[in-house]
Amino acid sequence: MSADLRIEHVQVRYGGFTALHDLTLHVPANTTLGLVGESGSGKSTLARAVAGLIVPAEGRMTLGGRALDKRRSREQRKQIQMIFQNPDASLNPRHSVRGILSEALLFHKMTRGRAQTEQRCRELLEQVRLPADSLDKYPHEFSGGQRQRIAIARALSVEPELLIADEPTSALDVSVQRDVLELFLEIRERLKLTVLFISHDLGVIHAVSDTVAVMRQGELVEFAPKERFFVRPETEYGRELLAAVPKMPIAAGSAERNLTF
Amino acid sequence: MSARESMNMHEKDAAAFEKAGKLGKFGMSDKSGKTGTDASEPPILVADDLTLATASGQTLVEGIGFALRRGESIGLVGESGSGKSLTLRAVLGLLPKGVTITRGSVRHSVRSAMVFQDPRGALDPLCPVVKQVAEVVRYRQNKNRREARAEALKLLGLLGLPESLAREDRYPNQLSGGQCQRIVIALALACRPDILLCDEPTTALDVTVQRQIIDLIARLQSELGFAMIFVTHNLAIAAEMCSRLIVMKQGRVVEEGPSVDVLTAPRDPYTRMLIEALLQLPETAGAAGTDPALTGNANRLNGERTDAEAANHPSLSGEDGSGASTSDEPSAVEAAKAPSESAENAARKEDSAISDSETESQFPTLGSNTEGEDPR
Repeated sequence: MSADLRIEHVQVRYGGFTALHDLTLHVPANTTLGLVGESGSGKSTLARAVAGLIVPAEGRMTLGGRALDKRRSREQRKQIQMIFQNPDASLNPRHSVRGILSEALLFHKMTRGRAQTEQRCRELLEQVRLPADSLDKYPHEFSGGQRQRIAIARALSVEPELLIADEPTSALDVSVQRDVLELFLEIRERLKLTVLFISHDLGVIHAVSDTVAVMRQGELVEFAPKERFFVRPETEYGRELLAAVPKMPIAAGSAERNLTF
Repeated sequence: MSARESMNMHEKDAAAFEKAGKLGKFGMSDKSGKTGTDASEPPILVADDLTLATASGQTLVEGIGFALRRGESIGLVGESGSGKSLTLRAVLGLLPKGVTITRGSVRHSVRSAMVFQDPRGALDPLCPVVKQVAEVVRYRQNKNRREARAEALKLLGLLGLPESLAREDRYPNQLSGGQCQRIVIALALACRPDILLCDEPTTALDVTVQRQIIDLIARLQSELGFAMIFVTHNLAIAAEMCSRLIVMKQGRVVEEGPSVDVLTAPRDPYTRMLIEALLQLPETAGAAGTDPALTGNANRLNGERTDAEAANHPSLSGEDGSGASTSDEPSAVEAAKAPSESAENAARKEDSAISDSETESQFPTLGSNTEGEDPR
């Protein structure tokens, strides 16, 4: 049920400042594109343009062959869902988990009747491995990792085809990050999602993506399959990025510690 | 600063740093003296059975003990809530309201200064940065305004900030995150500290900027010789910066020892978990070729790579019906800048063909003959 994302010559301007210069890329269905770059490189701008939160000045985007325009149908809004960096800010503190999860379900008329909504919410919680009694709790009662799971459950609630994850693990501890990433990969496989995964952490990108796109100052610098980018980066900037990652002094056994899924 | 310049700077720093690292390693292999510094010298900072608790009686940090010698660096590692930042604040005497030392003590007879995690939060947004640094110099070094300003500019030069600041002072919001962090470090150094306390100084920064700041702190430490307590949750950074590590969990020390020992032979399951949670990257081809010890590893990775590619290919070509997937290039996806505006109207297939050739001309691939060389 997933669709490919095609971005052609997209340009985004904020006033006089051009945040994205003529960007072209293609994410095949059921793959994950890892977007890397420093802050200000336009990663989040691209995500927002795809999600329809900002309107590109030029260019066209298609999802599964259908154009993503300025005005989108309810169906298209449903197809693209987003997970944000900071769950504290993206979850309404005054809504219970039930409210958070059912809001999108009700808006998109995904369920019939209260009983079915309830059933679907429970399924979602189970999917992100949260206890079923969480439904009546509020976001502040959860830890950071659990909150991010709620955000993932919300994004999955309307069965999207394209998932945009904007630094979903940056605010989390390393061990929690690992759990959330494992969950993320499992869900991606099960639901066959196309994913746009944004992170400035190359370790995370290596763990989740099939292709890597490196951005800098609004332009695409490098675009390669993950295996090639991490072993043989082709551009100076790509090498610079990889060299900047702090490494453990001892490489022995490090390969075994890779997240492999 | 252009990319080229920053690379050069990076190379130089890396060379100096490697040297420092080697010295550190010598110190560590010598078990009698835990670090490269003279073990007979009395420590400048001693934390003894330090216990911190809230007014309501909740214990936040329990029984932390360590000693810091001149020029030494200790890394405090742990996840959020492990009490590492609180320990640091206890050293500085900056405990938050309601938290008190209930047992033990922190004793030191020297000056300490702190670098905070969020550079923008640590700077006064309404005061230009040179003025902020000069203010600290003036009070901490007892100088008049003019001398303080000159000293401040000297410090900023040492930290690699643009010289244009001398002519035109700027506000923190006019500087990048990395520059702001440099200002914060300058503020700390203006106190002429014997101990520099770093509370996750690179967490809020990009990888490349993080690398610059780490190299900068390492360079400054070798030049100025201050001791350092470095708080971080990233084991890799801690390992680079510190000769000794203290791993904390929920307010207690779970493991302590020379960095190499802690990382190669972690005794505590929590330390092991932290190391395992680090997401490792494969060695890049050029880097792997230089080190014979790593070539086996690289070969293994190369094998893995082809496997993965083989596994990827059918799925990619199966789903993507366009001509791009039939090309020899492993990328079934096209990516390039538009050759011209007119291409916008060109057919998709044609477009992808143009962009493919463009990609190749634009990004020359690393030939196999250059593989053995070290690009750095």
